[in-house]
Amino acid sequence: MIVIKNATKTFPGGVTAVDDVSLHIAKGETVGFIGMNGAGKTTLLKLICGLYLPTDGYIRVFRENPFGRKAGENLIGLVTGQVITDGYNYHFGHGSVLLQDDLTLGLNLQLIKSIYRIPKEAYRRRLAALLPKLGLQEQMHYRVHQLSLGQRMKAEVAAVLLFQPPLLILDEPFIGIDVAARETIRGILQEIAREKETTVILTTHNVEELERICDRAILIDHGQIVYDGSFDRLKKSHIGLNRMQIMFEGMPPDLLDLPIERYTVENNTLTLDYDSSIVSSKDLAGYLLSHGRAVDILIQKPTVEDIIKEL
Amino acid sequence: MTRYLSFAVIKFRSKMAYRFDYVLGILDTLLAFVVYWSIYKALYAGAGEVDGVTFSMVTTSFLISLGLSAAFHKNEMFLQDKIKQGTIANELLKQVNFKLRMLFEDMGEGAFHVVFNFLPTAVIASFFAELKAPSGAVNVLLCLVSVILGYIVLWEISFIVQSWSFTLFSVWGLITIKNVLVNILAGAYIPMWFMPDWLRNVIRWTPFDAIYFTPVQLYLGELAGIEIAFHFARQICWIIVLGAVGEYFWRSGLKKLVVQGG
Repeated sequence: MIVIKNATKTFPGGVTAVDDVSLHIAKGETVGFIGMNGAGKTTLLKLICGLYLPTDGYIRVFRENPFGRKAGENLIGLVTGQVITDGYNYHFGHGSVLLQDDLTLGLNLQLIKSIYRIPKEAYRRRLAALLPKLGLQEQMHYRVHQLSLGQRMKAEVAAVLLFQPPLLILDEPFIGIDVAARETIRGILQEIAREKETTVILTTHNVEELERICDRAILIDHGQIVYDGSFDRLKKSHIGLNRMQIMFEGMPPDLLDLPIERYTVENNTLTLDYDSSIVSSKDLAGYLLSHGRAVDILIQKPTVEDIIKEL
Repeated sequence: MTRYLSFAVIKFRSKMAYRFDYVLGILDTLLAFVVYWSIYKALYAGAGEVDGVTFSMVTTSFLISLGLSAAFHKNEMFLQDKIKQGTIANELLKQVNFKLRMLFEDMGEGAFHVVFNFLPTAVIASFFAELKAPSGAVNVLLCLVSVILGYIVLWEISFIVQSWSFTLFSVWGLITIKNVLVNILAGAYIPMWFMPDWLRNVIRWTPFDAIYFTPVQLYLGELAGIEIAFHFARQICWIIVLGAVGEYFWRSGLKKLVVQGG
């Protein structure tokens, strides 16, 4: 489906945004791209879309070079939540791909129907399913620039799902979206992931969200892939530190020589970071509870986000 | 083709939502006509003709120019906005030819201005102004063909200027200069008949002549036989030349985009 071999993209000025990346994504996979700002995620996505010419390397999407692909195939659906500034007018716009600002949402969707040649019946059916789900029925007569950021993102998602591209790329789709809408979009994406028909690539800074939707995580740092595999393996192979917080009545007990990575004491609350393969939570809690008068105890497992920070 | 047509239809429909805009548009067009008509009425002061040009020829020519400028209405900041916002690259993901889509959207907008601004003005004007009927059904047909060709010539000039957005920060100034040049040199304000001979000879070698004045001359039946063929050939030549220049600018702009990032 997507084959990338040693792809490199260097911009004039010497910035290498994607550095010798090799990657294979099969049909029906749901992949999450993780990385800090400027790690090269969006550049990699643009290479996959054929919007950038790679400086070096080989990229094939649907067995074709995405760069210079001929019009007429509805292969890639791109939704981007990247907020962009219009350097000329100093207003904040949205990097909309599918929707046109000056048209109402209804007219926009009709335009998509004819651009992507969606049959009338299918269009009506999909619209009837999508609009109530995303709560967009009342927004149909508004011009897109009148919509709020969240409504707009929902509209973008509706637009891309209307023509059902076999490759769906979502770049930061959760920006500006409230909890309810986030759940709806997540639900839709999870459904797509289960059906295994559409290949999905998702980037977001909310790793928890990625973990719930995607089966595969790809960590990108300085333009290179530093991890590629399941979220579970990521957690297992890079065991992060557990964190225990205990609130005591009075002074916390002495820690002696317990194998703890670091600790802090603040207002009678003791915070411990420890490696659970060296000392178990049970032993640690047992010792502390028997040597002091604890009021409250909290144990946190490491999250993927912590692991990434550590990497 | 239906895909491109729907760009025009949807643009037209979305324009219709602004009711106040088209009421003002009619007033605007009508006012322009009345001012022009009054000035030339005073200038003619009852004279039958000046340099062989009658008063009704002048008013008719101006009304046609108004109709053409209504048709030529378009969003000239389109390309700049897309480039400045960085959405130009994303646009290319849409499975349509960008230039064609732009052309059809502009045609939708032009059609709106013809139907809702120009036609009402023309009807009102026909009650009080001295207008000349077309010299024949064939002439109307020929005029329409040359309007379409003239439209493409003007659109291509606009596209070339807009494609400078790939290198310039703002093309607003260039567009304004271009519009002034087109309006004056193409004879939208002052009919070509009244221009000094040397200027007319210069304009003959520019694409501007092919935009406004050729349709006017065809409507009034001023051209005949081989002359008509010559004018059409000239319009088509300009379409080819300007189209090639526009395509070159467009491609080099895109090249910049995919290599340097947008």
